[in-house]
Amino acid sequence: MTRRRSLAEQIARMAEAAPYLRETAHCDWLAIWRGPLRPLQRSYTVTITYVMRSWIGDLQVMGAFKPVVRLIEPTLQVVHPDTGDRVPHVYRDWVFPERSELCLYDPVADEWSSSALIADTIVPWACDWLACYEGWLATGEWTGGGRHPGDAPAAQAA
Amino acid sequence: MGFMDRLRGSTVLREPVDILLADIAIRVQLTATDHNKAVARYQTINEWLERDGSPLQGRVQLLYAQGSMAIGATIAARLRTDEYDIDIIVELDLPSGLDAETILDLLFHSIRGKPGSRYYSMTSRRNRCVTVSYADGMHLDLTPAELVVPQLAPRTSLICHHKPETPEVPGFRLVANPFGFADWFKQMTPLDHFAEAFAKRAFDAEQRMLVEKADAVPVPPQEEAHRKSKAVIALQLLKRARNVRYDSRHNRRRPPSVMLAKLIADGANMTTTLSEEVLHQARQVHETIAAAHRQGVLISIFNPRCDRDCFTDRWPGTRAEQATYLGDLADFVGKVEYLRSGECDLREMQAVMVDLFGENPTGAVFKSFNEQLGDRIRTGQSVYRPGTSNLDLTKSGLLRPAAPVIVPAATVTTPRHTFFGGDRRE
Repeated sequence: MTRRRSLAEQIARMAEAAPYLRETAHCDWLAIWRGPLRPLQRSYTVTITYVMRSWIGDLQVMGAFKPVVRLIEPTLQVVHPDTGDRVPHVYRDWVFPERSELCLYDPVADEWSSSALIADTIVPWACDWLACYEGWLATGEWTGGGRHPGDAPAAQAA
Repeated sequence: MGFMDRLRGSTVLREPVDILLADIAIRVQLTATDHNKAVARYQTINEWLERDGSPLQGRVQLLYAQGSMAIGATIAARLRTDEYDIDIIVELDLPSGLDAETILDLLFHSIRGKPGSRYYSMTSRRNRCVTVSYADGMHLDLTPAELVVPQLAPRTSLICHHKPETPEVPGFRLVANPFGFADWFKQMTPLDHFAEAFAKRAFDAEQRMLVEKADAVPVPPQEEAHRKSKAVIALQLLKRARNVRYDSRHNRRRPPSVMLAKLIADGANMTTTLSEEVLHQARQVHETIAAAHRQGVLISIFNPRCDRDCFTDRWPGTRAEQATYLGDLADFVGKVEYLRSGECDLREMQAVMVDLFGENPTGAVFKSFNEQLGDRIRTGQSVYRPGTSNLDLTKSGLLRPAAPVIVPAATVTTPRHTFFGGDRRE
């Protein structure tokens, strides 16, 4: 099994491969990046928050232990203005829906682990998500595929 | 085509706005299949005019395409249907002394033939031409012409004007040289690196459309047939935008296509990308007409190959008509500026393009673009430009490159992934 990437490695690779995302905070177990992603023509400001599994004394740090991507600007359109459908492929935040986390990969399919570099996976996946989101807003159709909770994972479905 | 041209060819259709504008043009233009059909049809009419007993037997010198058909800029004549008007010159060798009415009637009766013959119920007489209307929506407008003094530029002709509904008003003859204009236009708008990239996209789109329509495919059109310069595409888009605006202005004559073609050829291909060319051309046409308007006169444009051939003899009739189109052009310029600004997403771009080019082509173009985009992402083929978050549409396969793509070793395809979460759709 590949070793877990350190936060320093994540930060260094991000600075190299995605310099447009600015590191806004980091400590031993957390890093936050913020900046523009522009998959097509429009620019979107996102934040990527990564909390690594770690301990402060005997207290475990709380967090998702995976990179969390949120759309900051423009505000996430939770409901399609024409069809009334809810935006697909987000982990819904029921209190602040527009802060819902983007679902970029299938957790069951082991598409991401802490051995992967965020800059080489999460960042292009967020761009893919935003491109599909633009297409969904324009046409009402999410064409980028994906799995909904309750559906069989791709390998099992095949 | 040299190395630099091939290199540029891979970049001219780079941004989504350029691809979407090209796709709109592809959706409204005459397909290569329909182009071949039109050519076959006017060749058949030529044979029909030469039949035994035809009033024009032995009198037809030549049939050739004129207008938009001759310069490759034909677009659908209607907004919601694929109906095309194809302009043809019928060059005749007639006895001297015939008036305009007689010549137009002669061509009308020669094509129409006797009751029961193939064109009888399809033929109608217009002011300057005879129209043959086909069931699939294609119209061939056949303009009778006679060559004039040979000292003038090649194929300078006399055409006819006579209103059939007012037979008591005598008709008249006009000097025209559509052949010379088409030749001049092609010289002014040479095929450049853009043409190859556009041809590949148009060819692929036509193949898809043929499959959608489940048409019998007689001979698959070749990519060659789709090669056009940026200026021609800009002309097609400006004509489409004009048609959209004038569709709701009943009984208002439109700014003539041939005037737009002349103005666009004057400043053709001075840009890099399609959206830049469209913007440049719209500004230039606006400025030329506005200059006349500021002087208090009506725009007057002549055929560069025939100084007696006035392209603006029927429009604008008044300064108010001129001002109306100037307003349209200013609006067009502003909206294309916005499309290019990088400030709008696909939804906003779609809304702007629906306004400019109509619902019919725009909806289909965005649906197709979104399907192609999603397909590449779903199958793990999205590629980003190194050091940016910008999707490389060529390397991602949304666009067939004009030249083979050399993928730098440093370029990494996005690892395959599956979006998750959200509400299940029933």
